[in-house]
Amino acid sequence: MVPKALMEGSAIKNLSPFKLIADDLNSGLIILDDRARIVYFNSWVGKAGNISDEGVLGEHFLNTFGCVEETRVWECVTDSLIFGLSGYISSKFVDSPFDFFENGFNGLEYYRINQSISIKPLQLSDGVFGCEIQIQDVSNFKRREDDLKKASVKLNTTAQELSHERDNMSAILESSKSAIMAFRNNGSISLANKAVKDVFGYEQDEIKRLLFSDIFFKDEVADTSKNTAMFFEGFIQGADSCPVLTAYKKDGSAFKVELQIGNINDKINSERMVIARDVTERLRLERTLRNSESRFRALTSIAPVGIFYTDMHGQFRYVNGMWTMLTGLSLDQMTGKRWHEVVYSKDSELVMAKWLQSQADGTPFASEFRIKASYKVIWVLGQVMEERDIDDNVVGFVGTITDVTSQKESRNQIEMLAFYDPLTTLANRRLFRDRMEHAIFSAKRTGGKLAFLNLDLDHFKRVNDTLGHDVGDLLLTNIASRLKECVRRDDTVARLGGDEFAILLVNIESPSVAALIAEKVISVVRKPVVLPEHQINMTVTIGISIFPDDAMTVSGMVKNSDMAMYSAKSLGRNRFGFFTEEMNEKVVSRFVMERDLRSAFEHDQFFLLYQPQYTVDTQKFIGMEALIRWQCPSRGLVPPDVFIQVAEQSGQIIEIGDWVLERSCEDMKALLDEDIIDPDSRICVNLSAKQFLEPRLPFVVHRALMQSGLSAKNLELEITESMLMENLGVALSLVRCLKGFGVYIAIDDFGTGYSSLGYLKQLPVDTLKIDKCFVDDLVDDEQDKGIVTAVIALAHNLNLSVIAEGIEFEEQLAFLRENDCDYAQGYLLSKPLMLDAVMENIRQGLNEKERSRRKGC
Amino acid sequence: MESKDSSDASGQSQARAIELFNHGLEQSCVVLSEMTQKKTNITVVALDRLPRAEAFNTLCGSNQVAVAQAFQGDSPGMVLLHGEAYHYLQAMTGVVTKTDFAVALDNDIICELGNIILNGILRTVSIFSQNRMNCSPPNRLSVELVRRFFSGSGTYKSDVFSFDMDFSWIEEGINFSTPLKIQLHFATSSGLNDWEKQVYGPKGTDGG
Repeated sequence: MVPKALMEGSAIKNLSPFKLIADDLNSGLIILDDRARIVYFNSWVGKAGNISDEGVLGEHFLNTFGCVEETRVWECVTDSLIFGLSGYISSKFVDSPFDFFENGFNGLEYYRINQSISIKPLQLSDGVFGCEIQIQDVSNFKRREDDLKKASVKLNTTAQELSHERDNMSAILESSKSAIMAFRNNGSISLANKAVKDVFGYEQDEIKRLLFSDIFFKDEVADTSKNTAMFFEGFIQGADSCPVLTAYKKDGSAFKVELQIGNINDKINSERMVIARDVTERLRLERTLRNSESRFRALTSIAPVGIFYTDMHGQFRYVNGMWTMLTGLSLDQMTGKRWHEVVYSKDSELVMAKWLQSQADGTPFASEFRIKASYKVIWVLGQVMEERDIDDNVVGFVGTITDVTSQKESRNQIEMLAFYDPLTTLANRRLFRDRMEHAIFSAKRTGGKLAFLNLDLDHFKRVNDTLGHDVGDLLLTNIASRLKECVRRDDTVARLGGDEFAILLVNIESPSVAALIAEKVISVVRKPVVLPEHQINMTVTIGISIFPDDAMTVSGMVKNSDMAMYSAKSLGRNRFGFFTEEMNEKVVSRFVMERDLRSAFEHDQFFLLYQPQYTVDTQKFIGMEALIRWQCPSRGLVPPDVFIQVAEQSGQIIEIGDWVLERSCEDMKALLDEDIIDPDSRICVNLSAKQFLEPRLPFVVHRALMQSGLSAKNLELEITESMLMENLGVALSLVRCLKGFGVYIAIDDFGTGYSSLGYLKQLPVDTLKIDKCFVDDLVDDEQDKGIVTAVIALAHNLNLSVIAEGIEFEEQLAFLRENDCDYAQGYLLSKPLMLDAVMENIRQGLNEKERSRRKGC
Repeated sequence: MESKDSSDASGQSQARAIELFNHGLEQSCVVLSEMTQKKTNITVVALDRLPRAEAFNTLCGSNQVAVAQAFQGDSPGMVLLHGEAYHYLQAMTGVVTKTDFAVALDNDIICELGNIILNGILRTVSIFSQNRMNCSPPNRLSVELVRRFFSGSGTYKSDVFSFDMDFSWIEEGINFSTPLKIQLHFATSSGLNDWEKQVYGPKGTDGG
């Protein structure tokens, strides 16, 4: 269970332990509240879906993830929120319902992440349930780029460390002191500098009393003078210019010295100048350095960065294998060239400027630039620093180049992702909102006009459902490019999610410009989209709001354009509509009505009237129709045609409809229990469109029958033609289920719709109800007579009963009788009555019949 | 006379309950048909209350596949789907095999398809009982685990509410059909009794 604190806005922003853990997951996590609003999503989702908290948290799930609306994901989410069910969607049948992408291996393409999805119910706090959506990335793509980047940084650091080590060694060598001595042929010392104290431990005077062999050949040879002469002679002949010998200090300890030997006198009286350096330490360091350089060279040969040395003029002295691989140039080919000559010509000026600046500042050079490789231009990060000797003189330059082409492209694409829709490359919701804010700000200053066009592709879900997401994506891409062609350079086209597009038109002279563009959009969208295996015909519905006429804020513009779009949709799709003030007034008026309706239910202001139905020929009572009324304290008696539509739009119709059904069944059962009517009589209850499509309907019917004890054969449900035709598939299933109960089904207002008669064959209905509009002028209007006659004949041929409503005159009843209509209802026969009055009338009728029977006897 | 009325009412309630479950399964059938590209139909043919031992016996078929989802709430329990594996596999994935079912059946596929069918029933159960189910994700159960559930030594000891279903699909014009069963297990007997009242009405437990 998610910590309760997570539900609190402030807690979400804080790094709660839950968030810390969830953000660390290598999978997606989205948490929704009971109204499908996004409470939380982890960083994986943010990254893959290119979304941030702003404009997402607290918003409806489909506002951000509209792409899954027509998939099983949304079905499972609603199942989870409504029923507490869990859902599991493997990647076996549909691999990527969410628009989640990852960078491709070459940084140039985006790949949909293959997803395995688990949806579970979740208790967010006491009594508040939500759901948790877990998305596993089941793609085989690995994020090698990060690993390589880490390895590159590590090796680069190692190379730099080795370079420092070598500098240190130079510094150590610099600190060594040399002893300088002059030797006579007999090996005695004629001259010694002060450093002999440091090197040999003898004072200058002391060492002059010694022989060459005392400090170099101690105990090794007997005839020192001869050997000394031979030794020096050998060097004079050029055997070795810098011999290294073992020497002995005053304390008798041996050490290694390097000698530089030269004549300082003529050949006859020759003396030898010997510069002796204690190289014990240096020799050790040289060994270390050799080892170090060996390691360094091994590393540079395998390093994934190009490494080079140059001399102090910048001319190449060494390049490693990766340099050659990146540039396609070997050391031989680079001979005589300077390092910055490989820079791509378009970047060379900038690189030179930076190079000179770094020289002047004495700081290492580092810059990203392009180099012209053998077959292509690549982006590199170049780093160059001076190499100095032990005297701090610049002796050359050492540098690296790292291939950052893919990172550079990734960075560009990450920036692109933040503001653009990856599928269509149109602006995304964030950028679009930003542009709207700027446009409104600017328009406020200049007094200009803007138009916001809200586009919804009609029936796009069918494409996804029938042809799959891939085709859907291709279609969206195609439509996006068409939309871009409809607008000016300054306007913005965006994909806000799923099949939802938007256009911002700036600096328009009048709303007619928006209308013109909208017409153009409708026209281009309508052209068939030809894909490799399909040709698809699409249409679009557009809602338009104008700044400053309709709203002064972004949210107001969006809301009003939504309203305009839904209004346009209600008139039929493939059109555009502007927001109008009347729409706004309607909204306000509806809001007040909704509030009153809620109160009406709480204060028991609804009641039922029943209008009896009779056989046409004998006028025998066969049932009654339940009719709801609202006794509103402020509005008076409100007829159903005023409030039912509002109740349908607000969803209150479900509650009202349940009540009507339950009360009707109870009242009918009470009437039947009086034993004054035929046991097969029916109570007719009208179902609203919303109620009809509500999955709970059959359960409500089952419960109403079970609780009232009414038999299903005593209940007739009335549905309209249009309700059936709206969604014939669902209607068929539902009607079959209800018929399976034994309930009767009547089609209300028959003849007023535009439906095909074919569905009558498919639907197991029992009764057709002729609408009042055909009955009203039945006596005078020949066409109405023809229609009524035809409906009666049609019903009978299909073995259906037929009932006419709205009978007010004897002539109407006579016509129906002549044409074999089965049943009738209307003011002529009985107005709608309270249940008690219905009972009373039936009793009176029975009494009159009884009296007539007795008179007859 | 009153007893006959009661029995009639109970019979009508059961008939309506079957209709309701079939109605609830239609959504599952649509989804399965789309996913497998085969016209699929699932029909509840009977509802029954089975003693636990009897329910166990129905699970001992050689090629049984079982997918289960547990649920919490006022009356916690578990719903279990089981049927003949190879028919199931053939129908859903188009893979025809009668050899090594345990290997051949992809766990993901079985869980997803089981989930679709079970949710068709669970939706109806939830609406009936007017309770949220708070379900676990689907799990494919091993035979051993099933035995543990059904042997009487586990948490579940009450009778079982059983749905006998006919699972059929059309492939290349040929109609295949196989029985499929779903069992509804409540952790307590009172849970089962409450549930039956919702389905059959207050007097239904006698005649159900």
